[in-house]
Amino acid sequence: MAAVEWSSTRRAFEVAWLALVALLVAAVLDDELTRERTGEMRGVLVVSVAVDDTRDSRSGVKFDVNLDLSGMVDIVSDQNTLCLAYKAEPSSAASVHTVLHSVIHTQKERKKELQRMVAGEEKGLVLLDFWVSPFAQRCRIALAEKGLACESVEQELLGEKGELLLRSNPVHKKVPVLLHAGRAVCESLVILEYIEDAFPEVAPRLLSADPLARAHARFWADYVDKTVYGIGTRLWKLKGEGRAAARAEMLETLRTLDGELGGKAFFGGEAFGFVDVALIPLTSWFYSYEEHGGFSVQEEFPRLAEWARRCGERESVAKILTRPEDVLDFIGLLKKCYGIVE
Amino acid sequence: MAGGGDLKLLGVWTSPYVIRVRVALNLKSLPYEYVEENLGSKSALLLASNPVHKTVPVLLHGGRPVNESQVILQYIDEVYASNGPSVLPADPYERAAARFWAAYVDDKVGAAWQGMLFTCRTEEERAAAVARAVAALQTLEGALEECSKGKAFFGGDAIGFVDVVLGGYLGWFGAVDKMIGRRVIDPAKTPLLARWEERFRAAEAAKGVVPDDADKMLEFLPTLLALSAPKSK
Repeated sequence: MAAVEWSSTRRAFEVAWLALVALLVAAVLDDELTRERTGEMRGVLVVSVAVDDTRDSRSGVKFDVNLDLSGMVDIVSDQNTLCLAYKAEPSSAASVHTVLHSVIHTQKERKKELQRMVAGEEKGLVLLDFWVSPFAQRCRIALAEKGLACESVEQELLGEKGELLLRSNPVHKKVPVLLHAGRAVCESLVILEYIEDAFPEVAPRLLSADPLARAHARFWADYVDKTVYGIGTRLWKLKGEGRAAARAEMLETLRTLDGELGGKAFFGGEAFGFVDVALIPLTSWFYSYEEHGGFSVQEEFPRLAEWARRCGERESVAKILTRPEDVLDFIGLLKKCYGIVE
Repeated sequence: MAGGGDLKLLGVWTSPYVIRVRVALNLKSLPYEYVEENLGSKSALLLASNPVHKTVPVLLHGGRPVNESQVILQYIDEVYASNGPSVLPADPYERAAARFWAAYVDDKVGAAWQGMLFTCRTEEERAAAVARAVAALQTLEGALEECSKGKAFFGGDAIGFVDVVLGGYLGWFGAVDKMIGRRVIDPAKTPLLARWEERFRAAEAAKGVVPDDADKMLEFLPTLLALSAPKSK
């Protein structure tokens, strides 16, 4: 299976298409709904499209909020919720039917394919993914570094999460989940260790063979997990004292990481490894943290900034990391969803 | 290779994170020097060995520190692979399951444990934290059934990774049971875990390291509470 790339443009287009169809399904099948939903209402359309063999297309479409009909689509999410900022022009009824059928057909085929994978008929690797998730990106980078083909399956994280996700990660209901011959592995660092264990002959090794070096790598990956994302979230969500406290903690964290990196090329020494993989996707979020915290990683921690650039030269990292501007946009839309006003 | 150098463990006798490491060292019959730390006045060795978190446990092997209890457990497994069974299984998928559940224990049970003893300000808050622990334990009841496949422990016939990680909390659960007049691991709600607790406490490796004197722990609690932010991991 070829690895699937999700450029933000393609994704936006595909989701726009899907969202358009979803809207038009309701428009075609329920005139009353159309009258309620069209017009001058602004805001965020929250759409969850679930095409299921056992349900008809009408019951498979849900609308939650108001809709704005005049522009493009943005996608917003954190690990638990998804919002689509949707704006589009409705097209004619005839083309709706054509589009509708082709989309539903594609979805059904997709579902069957995934079911086969889950049943273990496919021996390959599948990653339940979300485009901006830095935790999912850790897994994709590790797999890409090792040349292990993996199909990335974008998840809908709003409200009704996909059946496959719920079945694969019933405890946390989160991405990433790695499916290997149908068996689910959850939690990004657990997935990274699993990839090392399950493919012992595949290079490069992300963890050293030396137990002490492995212990250091695990310690620092754990440190990254306990700090960056959680503090960063408080940094953009909170104001006043809350934000100030988060800013101080973020600077302390980055200082600690910069100190640990020291003059080395990578956290483990000469080679790109476990800690680098754990941290690098979070660097896409640094720009947003800088904007909210009023600091510059380049100025305060030039070694860390240089390390991020060095990692960014790797094909896997360059392809997989979200652009910092897109992360900032994403946070902006998340704020809208949460009703946070700057 | 049995490693080059002596083993020294910096700890506090009540810490779930220290207890789990001691059980693991016992499982491998590894001799070590145990140093009881005073968290109100941390030793220079502790501060130098774990500058990032300044917490116990710290394992020093030939003078070189290893920090974070779950990291230490894996280190012991890897260095002393020839000293008897490992706490982590050999199969990659089973290892992933063990790591997943160990992370769950520290995430959910650990947070509730902090809440029920150290951060609660009222009995209502304590009860709420206990309820969160009980909810997590109910999930773990299912995990135990799945992982043990009818055997005694999460690790099967022998004590494994998830067993030592969860087992570290048993001392404090006994103390909380006394405080609130009912069992955190309730045989009515989590019968498998209740039986598991008995077996774990009875194991040779747990003797002398899993506290069974609830009063002694409750006597020590004010000392711990007096510290501004007791974080033993």
